[in-house]
Amino acid sequence: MKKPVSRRIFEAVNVILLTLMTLCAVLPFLNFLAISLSESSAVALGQVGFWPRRVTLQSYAFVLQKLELAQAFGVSVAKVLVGVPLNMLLTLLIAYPLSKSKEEFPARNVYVWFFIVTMIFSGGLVPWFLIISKLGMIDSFWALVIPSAVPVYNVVILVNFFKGIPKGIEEAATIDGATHWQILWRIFVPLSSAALASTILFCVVNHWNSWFEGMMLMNRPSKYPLQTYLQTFVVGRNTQLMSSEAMRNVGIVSERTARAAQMFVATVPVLMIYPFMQKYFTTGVTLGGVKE
Amino acid sequence: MKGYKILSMILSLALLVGVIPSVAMAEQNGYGIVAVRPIPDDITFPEGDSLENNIWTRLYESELGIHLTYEWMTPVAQYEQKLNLSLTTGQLPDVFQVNAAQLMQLVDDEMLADLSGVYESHASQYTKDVLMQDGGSALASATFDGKLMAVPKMSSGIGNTNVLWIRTDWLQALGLEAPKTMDDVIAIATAFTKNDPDGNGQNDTYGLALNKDLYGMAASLEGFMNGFSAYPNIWVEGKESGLENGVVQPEVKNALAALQALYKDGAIDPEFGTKDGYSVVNGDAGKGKVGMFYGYFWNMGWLTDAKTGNENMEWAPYALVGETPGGALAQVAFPVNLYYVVSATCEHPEAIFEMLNLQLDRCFGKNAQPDIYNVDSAGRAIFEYPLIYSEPPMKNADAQKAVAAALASGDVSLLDAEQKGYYNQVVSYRSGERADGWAQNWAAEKMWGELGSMAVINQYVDGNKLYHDRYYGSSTQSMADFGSILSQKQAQVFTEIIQGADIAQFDQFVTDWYDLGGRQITDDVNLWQSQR
Repeated sequence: MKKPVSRRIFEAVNVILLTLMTLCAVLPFLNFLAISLSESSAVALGQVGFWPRRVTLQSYAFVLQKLELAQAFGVSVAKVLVGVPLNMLLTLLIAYPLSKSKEEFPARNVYVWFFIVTMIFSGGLVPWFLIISKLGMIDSFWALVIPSAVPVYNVVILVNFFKGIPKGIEEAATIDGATHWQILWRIFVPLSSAALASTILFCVVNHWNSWFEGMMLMNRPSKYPLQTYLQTFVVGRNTQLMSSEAMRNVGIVSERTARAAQMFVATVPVLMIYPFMQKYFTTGVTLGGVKE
Repeated sequence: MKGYKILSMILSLALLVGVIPSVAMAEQNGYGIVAVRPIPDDITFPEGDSLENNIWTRLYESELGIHLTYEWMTPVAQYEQKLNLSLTTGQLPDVFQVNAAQLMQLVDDEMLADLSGVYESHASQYTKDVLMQDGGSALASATFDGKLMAVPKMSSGIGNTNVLWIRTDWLQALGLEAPKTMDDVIAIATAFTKNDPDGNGQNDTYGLALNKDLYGMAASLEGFMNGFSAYPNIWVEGKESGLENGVVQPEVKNALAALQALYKDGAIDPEFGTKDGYSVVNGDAGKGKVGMFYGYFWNMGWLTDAKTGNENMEWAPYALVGETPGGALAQVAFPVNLYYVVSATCEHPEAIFEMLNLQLDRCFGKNAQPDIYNVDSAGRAIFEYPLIYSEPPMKNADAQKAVAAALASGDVSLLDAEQKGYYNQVVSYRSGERADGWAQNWAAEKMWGELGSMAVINQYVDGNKLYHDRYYGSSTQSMADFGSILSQKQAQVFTEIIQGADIAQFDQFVTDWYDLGGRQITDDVNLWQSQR
């Protein structure tokens, strides 16, 4: 069972490339972990690479006391707990009819385009803001959940997965007297657990990572979700827009290590979900290929 | 146990009773102001306080009867965009901060209150003095058709000039002298790059730091350009007649050629295009990777962590040098770019001046208590809390002179409270004791001492070494239309030239600059000049 030389070269190159790519993702992460665990003067002198210098848990102690961070964490968790079930409910209810053929559902294509158009074109920032504002959702929690309630991309994934379910099962159920409602919940949902798991993961990650709407739609930082909080207070610093007096003050508060610690705290929850969902990924995402 | 319960009930009743009359009072005499505001980065508060309830909001309430509430607040970097969005709904807050372009738009749409009347009747004499301290150009920039439509946020023009910061321990290590001409600056930059100034045996240092935007507060280009008698992005007297923009003058080309040569020699970090001023100074300079940069007088404040970690690191500020000995003129941009405005529907337009009177009085005026209202003992920037903030343009220059005089005579009786704070920091640093905040005291020495950066700037003032922006009118429509594309173009072309592109691209840039709207702006500026 000796492998041909070409095959072994291919595998070696594969391993090297994949290792390099993995390092690109992992090393910045390690660097941040090291910074968050080091003393701030060591960081300022550039002595911290991938290994912490003068190890201290000060930054974490500081971060865990921070009320704003805890508040933002709470908003993000609520956003996921409310937003993801809403996403999934609407995705299922839209994907099921759209997965039927044109004979069964004559207006299908009209509806497909109705959704696809929103994927390609957006109304632009100002109309988006005006609509949400006229609907009275500015500064309310619902503004973080309702405008993004239908993830069209996930609908497409699910439609394609539903199409792959053998027609025979559905026909048999119909003959036994099942309604569409029963077919969806009793047959399609249990059969698509892989696809559902991946779309749930997409929704969770989307909700966890989105930050822009929090900034534009919420009126004060106490209502920001976690990523908005991090983006605006921890990462973002637009030096061109800051006044000279304000910039003078930046140096007085040395926070590099605390910033690193906060970013770390924010990544942990998603990191913990990923390994459990990952196995569904390969089977779950079917964008094309009609079977039968 | 029972006594304790009764006591606590009595106490909480007493609290309630105490609260009720004050609420009633506020309703009788006071009024509410609804505002929006940016949240400064890294702002901190004493326990229990916030932007909505702090020493300044309580002062507004008790002194002026103004009950200030915020409709929204957002971090400073997002303020402009969020304000633009919320203006689309047509509902304006009573009092808010705008930039020059937004001011012009709101004036055009007739959405702002005319403040001319309340300025006369409600601004205190001290407020008027501060607003006029620059000769009236700030107020002129907020006046449209003879009506005062906004209050300029006063800040110091000369406080925003460049000084040249050099690592003196590196100068000494290499046996170099302080620079007298631009040739010296270039020689120092090259030596810092090639002669291993940190003595670690590695070729890992750069001579001159630049930030990605090229201009600004730290690691900026203004001072370098001024050394070649180039004054980018301010309005200068043209060679023949009228006003022209400094960025399209031939002197800029000489400066860019010199930068290109430095870059080729490895004296400029090839990654400068990715770093802002803060990361260059706090990061690269702090790590000992770069030994020279042009920047504002307070830049050492960003190196305090590095100083704590590496006591041998030493910096000094130098006056700008020119092509021949005798120094250069430092450019002074028009310092006002933010304005406070009042909505046309606000019932109390006088509130803006009442708040400004109070702020100037408590921070800088006769009743000043800067340790309470400006920067407190814990180093918190209390001056970030009030909605309306201005500072007298000459404040820092005056403070340095006063501190230097007190250091010479030992007589502190003439110092005001803020100056005394600086004085104490310098004295504490000079005592050699490693007290708390030692590195901050070191930074204070670098600003306020006899050889500090503010002393360098006072030399500019006393020796007439300043080149003031010749335009100080309000922002024009053409500036709003073309300003951002022109500065993008400039950043792109200049960065390319520094990184080695053909220097002849500068001539093409000048043509493009005029074609992309620069001609229109120049015409508008000259129209203003002729009408003055």
